[in-house]
Amino acid sequence: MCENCGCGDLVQPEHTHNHGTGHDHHGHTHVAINSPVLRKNDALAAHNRALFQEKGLFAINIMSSPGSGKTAIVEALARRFGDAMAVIEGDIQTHRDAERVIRAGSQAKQIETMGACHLDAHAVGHALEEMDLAGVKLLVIENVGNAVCPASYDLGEQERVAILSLPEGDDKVLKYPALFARVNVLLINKIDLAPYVPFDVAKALNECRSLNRAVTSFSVSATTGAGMEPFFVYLGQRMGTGC
Amino acid sequence: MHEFSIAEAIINTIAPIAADPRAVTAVHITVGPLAGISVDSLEFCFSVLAQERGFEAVRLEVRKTGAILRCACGREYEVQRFDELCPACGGLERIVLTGKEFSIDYLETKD
Repeated sequence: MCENCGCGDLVQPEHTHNHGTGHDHHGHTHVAINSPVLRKNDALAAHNRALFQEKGLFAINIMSSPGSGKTAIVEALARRFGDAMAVIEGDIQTHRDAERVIRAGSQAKQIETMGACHLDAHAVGHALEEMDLAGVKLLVIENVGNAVCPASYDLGEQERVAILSLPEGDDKVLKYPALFARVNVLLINKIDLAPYVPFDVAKALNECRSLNRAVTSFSVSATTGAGMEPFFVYLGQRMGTGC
Repeated sequence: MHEFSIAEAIINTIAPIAADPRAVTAVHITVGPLAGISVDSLEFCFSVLAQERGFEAVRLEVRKTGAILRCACGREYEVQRFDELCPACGGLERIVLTGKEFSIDYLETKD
């Protein structure tokens, strides 16, 4: 990986010193760059994506607020997919989530960001080096709990999954548009709490579709297992098709 | 609060291009409303980091674009905020055409 990422080194832009694009403007010069801001991350994400394809992995990046049920969902997936699944866990500190996933039946590698509010493609690439992916068909990356920052970083995943849970409220989609505009799947979690907390599922879904017409949605309870089967089938189809 | 990481990415992109960091007077970037970036935070983080890395005179010039949406009624409209409904029909059924832009466009250097 390090020969790809050049850890700690400055990346040389492909168009460095493109003198042909510099031009004078009355005492100063404009030097064209025209590069995505996260070009280095994007390049490392492309490397991860190529690795997933080479190994026949379907990779998903799960993003949501803290406490919405990401790890409970991943535990349910681990009980279902077992050795066919591997998990990269992102948290500021502790190995708690990786330990939960391992107990539920899948291998897991914990990334402790020690302060960073999101995972990036670099951290994921190094985590992958330490995992045994033989026989694995589904790679789940559980991002740091945060509905804002993780959305900016491509990790190389084929699909992005957002979770919105009933206690958070049905008004959250348009408050965090950058996340919900980028997801393939919206999981509405904790539907077992519907008798206790007001939440208009149709409103949340309509607002998500107003940012992202192609989103697929499932209403689930990771705790009771209600509604999880269609989500398992959805993932199974994507794993089976070799993505 | 990932704007410090973003500021670092900008500095790391321009550093190899700028032979003399002190000659760089501006970095021009474009930010769409779906980039997920707080421009105020980014400007602050960038100013701190730029000083640290020897870009003494640089300023961050941010071009904030709107997102263009196409409503089911056919109307196209531009927003910065996504709770704005279609000005023609008041609907929310729409397609997001643009808004995720996030690029470093060019540097300005003094001669």
